[in-house]
Amino acid sequence: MRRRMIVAFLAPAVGLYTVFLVAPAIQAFYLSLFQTSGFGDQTVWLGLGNYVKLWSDTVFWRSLYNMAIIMFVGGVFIFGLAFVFTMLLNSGMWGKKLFRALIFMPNIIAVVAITTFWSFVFMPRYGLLTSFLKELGLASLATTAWTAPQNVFFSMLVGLVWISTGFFTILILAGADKIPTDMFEAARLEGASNLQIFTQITIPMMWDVIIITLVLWATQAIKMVEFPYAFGGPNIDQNLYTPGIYLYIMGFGQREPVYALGYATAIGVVLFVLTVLAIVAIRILLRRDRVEF
Amino acid sequence: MRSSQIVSFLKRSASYLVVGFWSIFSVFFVLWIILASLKKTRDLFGSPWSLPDNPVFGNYVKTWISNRFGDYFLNSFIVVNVSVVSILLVSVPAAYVLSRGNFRGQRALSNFIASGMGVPFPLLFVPLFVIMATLRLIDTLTGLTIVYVALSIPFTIYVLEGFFSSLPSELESAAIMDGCTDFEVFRWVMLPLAAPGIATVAILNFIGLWNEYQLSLVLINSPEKRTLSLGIYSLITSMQYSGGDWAGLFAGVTIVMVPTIALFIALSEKMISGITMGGVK
Amino acid sequence: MPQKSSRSRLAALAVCAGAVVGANQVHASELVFWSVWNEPEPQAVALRKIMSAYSQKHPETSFKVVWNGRQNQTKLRGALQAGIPVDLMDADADQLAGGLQMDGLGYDLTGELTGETKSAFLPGVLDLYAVKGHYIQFPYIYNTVNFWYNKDLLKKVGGSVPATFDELLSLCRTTRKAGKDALVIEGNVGFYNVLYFSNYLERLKGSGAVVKAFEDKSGAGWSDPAVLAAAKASRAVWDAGCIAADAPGFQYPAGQQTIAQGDTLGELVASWLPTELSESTGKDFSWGAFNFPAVADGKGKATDLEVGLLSFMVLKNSAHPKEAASFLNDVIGEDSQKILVAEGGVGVPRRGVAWPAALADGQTAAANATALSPFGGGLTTAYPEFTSNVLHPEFNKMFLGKTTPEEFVSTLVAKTKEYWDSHK
Repeated sequence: MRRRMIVAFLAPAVGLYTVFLVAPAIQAFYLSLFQTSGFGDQTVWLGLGNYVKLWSDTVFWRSLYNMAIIMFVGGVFIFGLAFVFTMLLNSGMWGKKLFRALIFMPNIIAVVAITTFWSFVFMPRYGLLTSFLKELGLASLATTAWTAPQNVFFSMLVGLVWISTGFFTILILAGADKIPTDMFEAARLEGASNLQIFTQITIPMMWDVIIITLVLWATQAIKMVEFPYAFGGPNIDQNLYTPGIYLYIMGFGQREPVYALGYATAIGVVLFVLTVLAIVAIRILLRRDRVEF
Repeated sequence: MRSSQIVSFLKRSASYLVVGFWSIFSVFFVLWIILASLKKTRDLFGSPWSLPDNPVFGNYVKTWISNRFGDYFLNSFIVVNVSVVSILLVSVPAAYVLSRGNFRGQRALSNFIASGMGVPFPLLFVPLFVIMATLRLIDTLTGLTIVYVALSIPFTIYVLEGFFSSLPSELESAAIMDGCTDFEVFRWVMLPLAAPGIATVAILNFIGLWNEYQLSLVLINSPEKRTLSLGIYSLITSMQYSGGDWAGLFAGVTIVMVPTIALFIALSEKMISGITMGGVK
Repeated sequence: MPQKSSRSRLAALAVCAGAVVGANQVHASELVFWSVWNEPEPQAVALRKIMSAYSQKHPETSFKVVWNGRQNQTKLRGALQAGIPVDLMDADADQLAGGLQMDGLGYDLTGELTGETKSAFLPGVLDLYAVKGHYIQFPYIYNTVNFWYNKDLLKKVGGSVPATFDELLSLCRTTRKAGKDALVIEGNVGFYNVLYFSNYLERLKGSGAVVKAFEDKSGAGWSDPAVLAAAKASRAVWDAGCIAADAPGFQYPAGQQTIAQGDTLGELVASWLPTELSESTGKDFSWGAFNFPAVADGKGKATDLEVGLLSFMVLKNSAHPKEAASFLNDVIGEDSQKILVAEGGVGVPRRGVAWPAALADGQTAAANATALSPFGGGLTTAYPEFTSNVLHPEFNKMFLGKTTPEEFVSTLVAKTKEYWDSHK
């Protein structure tokens, strides 16, 4: 490839990215070395003070724990389901496009509507789940307070898995769709089962896409804010905190008038580092020679 | 019927059952929102699962007029479409060069851009506001579009790189042998091949930006420049202090949701299937 | 129609003349106002009316309003950093106190407020957020914290307004016998639930007791038996059957909706509840409110009140602080306050202006208030970080039965000491 084309192709993206994302991010990260509310010029130099405080902050550790559960437990379900759907939809099912659209659909709806819907599902007394379980005669389960503090995190996770499965299913499907169809036909002629086709052809052929989706999920899980935040309501329970939510609450006066922007930024920097580490880890762990065909 | 046929019939039915159940739940969810928007708030909470006795369309009228949803709709439509097209124009070539080009610092540059996915956006509120104010782009849809494009670049490039790098290189070399220039290889060989990936990121960006409200909240002040999701957001926040019009909120959500679903179906059909046909051969 | 056209030409001339005069006047000023309201909200409608009435009386002052909505203060951060001029803003009083006011970015209004203005306020309101006698924020909407309840349902279950905490518990039993619940909560709104604790503690120890307990840097402030008593009283509400057993599962606003449905008598919350439920209750719902009742041997009075205010603030770097302050003197005027009630449907801080009918009991509580403290007892305002990370979540755990009152108290002691050790 000629140098001129490389430069011309890269310049607009790199330029925009540097000016409107990297520069402000560096500016923001610098704040993590101060105690500041972000309103005025009253800043106190702390050096790494915010990070030291973060290290012994139990709320922060709790939020990291929640993040890990979302990433690993949620991830297993999301990717398990996404692969199952990919396999089923690609097994020559009728109505593939329709099902794909329907599976993805929750992603295009305002999060607040989704969370309100789920809180009606889980609501005591009139809720869908409660009345459903009552019908089945499971009285003890029916009276479970699904959104009470001890259960709320996993109730949220159910909703989150539901949405994210749709998101990753269409990404993985798109990856599977670029595999030449004659490969499948050849395999079928040789009598391979759907499962064999899936593990022997689909997975290896779309290894790159799998890595991409894993990285996307990892970055989403690390920065996760919107869904659990909306699910938690106006005064979100600490059981639902993710680091992103904690950042928001500490820096933006969302719940109580805490305006510790410097501290919030330190959380942001930690999230940034975690994301970079996750990307690198996934790339190294799953590195394989590129499949050519 | 032979037993193997029965087994395959059962297997087939099971697949439809699994996929069908999941899909029906989605449909059920969308219908629930629409029904909720036709109820009175009181009935919504008293019997959330029943059909509305007397459908109330007043929620729509109220939401559309008092919240200027008509204006917001146009703003969202313009900003999001211009943004998505610009994102693709900027990101597709860059992703192509980053994945198929061969130059020093390629890997580093690729990582540099991917790392942008790790930046929590709330941290950018203040610095972005200052930058946009300096450029006199604050409170303009142009400014919002630029920010949308810039902030979507890491995700888009990252996904597209993967799509490009998994494409077969034989076609590329064959085209070069045929005397294609670099640009022609990109435009006529690789671009069509990556079409499913491009369509996918287009859809994902479209939907992400259509529902985005935090950045627009920070960067837009004038009521006439608001986007639809900002309109929804202000409906939500009005619940506190100004009356909990939940049915009205669901009317607003439906107004946002219906065109998105329509666009999604049109886009996913046209772009994914259409281009895949032309591309992968 | 020649007459009409000549008249409109005259009108045009008058406008031009006005513009010329305006340009020559030294004091002509446009006040930039960033508001916590969204444009279609009734409070915004009321404010628009007040501003245009003011501009008519004072043609030299005009307004440029940015209807930001609830994230007003967060958006102001950007504006302040970018040097965009803003003269006037409004926000939740607690948010302001912990935000712009704490950073010293408010203009000192003390010298600008007329005697008439200062005496117009209901007792204690203006002073609540004053710093050493200086007024930085200017309250203009008033919410009171009481038990808000369905008067008709109270009659139906055969109960009466409780004067003491024990009477409250027996009201719960009466209500339960009639097949209804006396009270409801939102399981996920810790800052509502903590009202049981802060109000009880203040009834025992007097207004401001919560902040006082926290400010003992050894943490020993919480070891006072009154704290444990307040924690236990919050649990007693459950033990007496005041709240349905499934209520911890209510996610806002599901809990409060049960009041509109007629299943529950009331809720301990602020006077915005009738407004929030107005869509569900309809207009004829008979709202009443009673204060948190007195407790045995308490130092605090049953007329002491927790409040939630909304305030204006003039920004320190405003180019027209005096004009903005003069507008504020007008906001507390009778006409403006009446507009806020009529158009905005809110309670207001001026003496003698009747609140909307549904909020009448709130007004009575405000007029008779013997001492005020902010929503939740004031810890939110003074030490938001501790409140957000320790008090509210730990209280909610205890309140919903995950920990015991004793564990709650010992956590407070330990965490308070930890807080002060790291904030020397």
